[in-house]
Amino acid sequence: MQVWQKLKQDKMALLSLGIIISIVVTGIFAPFLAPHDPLATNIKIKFAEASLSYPFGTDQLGRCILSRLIYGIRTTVFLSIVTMLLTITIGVSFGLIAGYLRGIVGEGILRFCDLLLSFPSEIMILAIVGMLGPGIGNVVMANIASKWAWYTRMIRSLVLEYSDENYIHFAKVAGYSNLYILCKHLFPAILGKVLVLATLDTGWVILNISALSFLGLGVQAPTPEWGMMLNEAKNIMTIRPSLMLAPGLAILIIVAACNFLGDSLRDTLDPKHNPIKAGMKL
Amino acid sequence: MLKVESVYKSYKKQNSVIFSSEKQEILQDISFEIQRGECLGLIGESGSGNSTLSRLILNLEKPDLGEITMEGKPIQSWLKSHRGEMSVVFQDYTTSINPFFTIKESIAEPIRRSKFKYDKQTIDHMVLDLLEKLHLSRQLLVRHPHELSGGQLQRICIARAIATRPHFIVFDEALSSLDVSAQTQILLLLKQLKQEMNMTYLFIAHDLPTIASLCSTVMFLYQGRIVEEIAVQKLSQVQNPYAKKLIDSVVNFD
Amino acid sequence: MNLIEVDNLSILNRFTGEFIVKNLNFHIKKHTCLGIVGESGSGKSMSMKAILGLLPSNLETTGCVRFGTVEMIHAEPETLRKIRSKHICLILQDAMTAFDPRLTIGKQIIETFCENMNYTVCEATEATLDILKKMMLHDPRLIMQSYPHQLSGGMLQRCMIGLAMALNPEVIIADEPTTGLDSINQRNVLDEFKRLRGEGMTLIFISHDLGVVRYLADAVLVMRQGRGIEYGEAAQLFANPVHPYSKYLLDTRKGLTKAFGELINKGATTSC
Repeated sequence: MQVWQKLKQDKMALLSLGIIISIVVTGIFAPFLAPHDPLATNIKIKFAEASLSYPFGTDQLGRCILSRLIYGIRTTVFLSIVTMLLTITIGVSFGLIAGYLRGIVGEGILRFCDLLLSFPSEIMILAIVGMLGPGIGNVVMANIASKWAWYTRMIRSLVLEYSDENYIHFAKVAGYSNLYILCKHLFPAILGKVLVLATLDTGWVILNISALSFLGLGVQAPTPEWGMMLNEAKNIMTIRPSLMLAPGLAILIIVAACNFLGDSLRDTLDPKHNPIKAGMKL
Repeated sequence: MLKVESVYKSYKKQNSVIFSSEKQEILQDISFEIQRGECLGLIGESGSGNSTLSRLILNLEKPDLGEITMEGKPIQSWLKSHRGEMSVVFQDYTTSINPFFTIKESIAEPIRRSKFKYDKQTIDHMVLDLLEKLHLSRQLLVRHPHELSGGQLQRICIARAIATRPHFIVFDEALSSLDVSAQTQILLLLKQLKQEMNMTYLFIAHDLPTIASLCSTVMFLYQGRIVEEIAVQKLSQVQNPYAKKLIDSVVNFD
Repeated sequence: MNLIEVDNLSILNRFTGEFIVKNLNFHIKKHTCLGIVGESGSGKSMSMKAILGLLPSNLETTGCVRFGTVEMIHAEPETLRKIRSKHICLILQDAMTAFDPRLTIGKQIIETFCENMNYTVCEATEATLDILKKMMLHDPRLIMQSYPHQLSGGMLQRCMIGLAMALNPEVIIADEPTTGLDSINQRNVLDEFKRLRGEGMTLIFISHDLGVVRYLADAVLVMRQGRGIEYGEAAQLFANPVHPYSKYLLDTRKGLTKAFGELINKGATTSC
């Protein structure tokens, strides 16, 4: 595929993609890759240094940090992906409708989004989780609820922009159905931008879930989650500050990888972008 | 065939205060008819309403007052039942084709979406036929729009427009962005196609000589009103002062 | 004396090795008008941008371009910038994109006046209204308050041309300034250019329309695919083109207006 060809030329994109894929695969095969049970405590070996059997050492309860990191992928990363996918699906659907149909339906959706967006998203997440109680499901729902309206507005303005292109006018004159125009013409055009927003936002979602767990509102102990691990490490920061390193770096790496990938995707999905020919167009 | 009766169109003034109802009149009391097989030229200053009029005729927008009918039926319902029989070529060819589609997909799309169901082979043949008619090479089929020159792109747009054998085509300043040799070639092409396929044209332009060589009748649009409608053969006998001024100001070249 | 001298100007794409313009030669005397003709893709706009140092970095310019005594190709960016703001004014082809979409037309023109001519805001406003009136734009005050996307392409073009003229540079390079304008506006703009030329302005006029070039130019350069095909005095070239490509361009242009010319002449003879 042409997109893949262009992506292959971007070293940073390949690296980011590689990192994300290896993290995801590691998470899937966690039971086979983690050296120990992430929940197994062994007070006798708490705060152990890095060793062959415990590559990243142990935490304050003697649990293997590496194993907790690996199992933590399942909670942190997978949850974020699920959240993103759901948010995008809802946001894009409403955005396409609001942008293309306009009229009362469009305006209605838009005003509702404006209403939702008038709440600061962090507060909203906290409020929802506060109301529904802590737990993974509620965290996901809170994240979706706070972000879908933003996507709807973004997609709507993109759709408005593209709707004015002459090829959409031609499609209308030629009598194609609205659904066809939305799916075949508008959706591919905005897909690129949506993917970029999504990858950039994935970082934000990961940070959010981690932050909630850090505050004790998301994932509950003893489930391993990177934010949770940061939280636990924070409590004993004075004794063992190095315990914050592993989960902190893990979050940093995956968020950075997502951001770089998003940047590169934006360039490659533009059919006009050709790194060699750039400048010939004049 | 096409009948426009007492059409008015205005837009809200953009710089006005919110909730104000100040409107800018773009079109006032537009009435004319186009017979089957005719080629009507519409000439007016940029900003005088010709693009608005074409959008109304193409049913992309609705007039505030008045009626637009095709073969007796309101344009909306006519378009629904006569899918593919009206087509358009726009001035800006750079945005007229979906940048993600290849040229082949762009030309084949209206054929595939038409009322008649053709199989893949027939469609491929039809696309190649169209390319030949417009003197375009087969190699262009796999390219994307941004890889083509202006003249080529506009010809692709025309190929796409005639793909469904429409009866009526609106050319909205279709030649204005092309250079002189491309204009000449395409003008010739349009004349041939019109005869071969017995089409009706509405040709909007701001260039009188082009209209004079293609159209049978010309209509002058000035500040939103039709100020003169006259057969091209009788062009030297225009009465309206704006039309006269327009004719006199054409840079002579002989 | 030649105001601008171009010797063996070539533009090379560093990445693909293709020559966009090759060995272009021409010169312009003070107070004359040079018309550059050619089809799209012939390199007309690129050559002008090369002279002013406006090309992107992947394009390499070689040769010798002299403006007065200044050598342009290897000049310092600051020198080029001074020349571009005071001495040579370039009117670009696509008027829509030449204006900042976030500011009103009035603001942008006034800003240019204040920057380049050291006017006060009052003087600049007066000057703006003046040029808008000269360009036959209805309701200059409304236009000053409008944003670029609210005006048609033709109006924007006229604003740009008016602005360039009012800045009073030594040389104006106009790239397809009348494309997209109807005959009346085209004639207005051309007459304005003629008046400027009469007052001593040096003009470079790029167009694919020979008719427009013939109306204004003293000398003509015909370009094709990056090369200069024919170069000489306008009257000579239009009467007796030497190169077959020049002949072809002339014949094509004649063909376009033939039908129209016949109709008008027919009317003229029958009415008297």
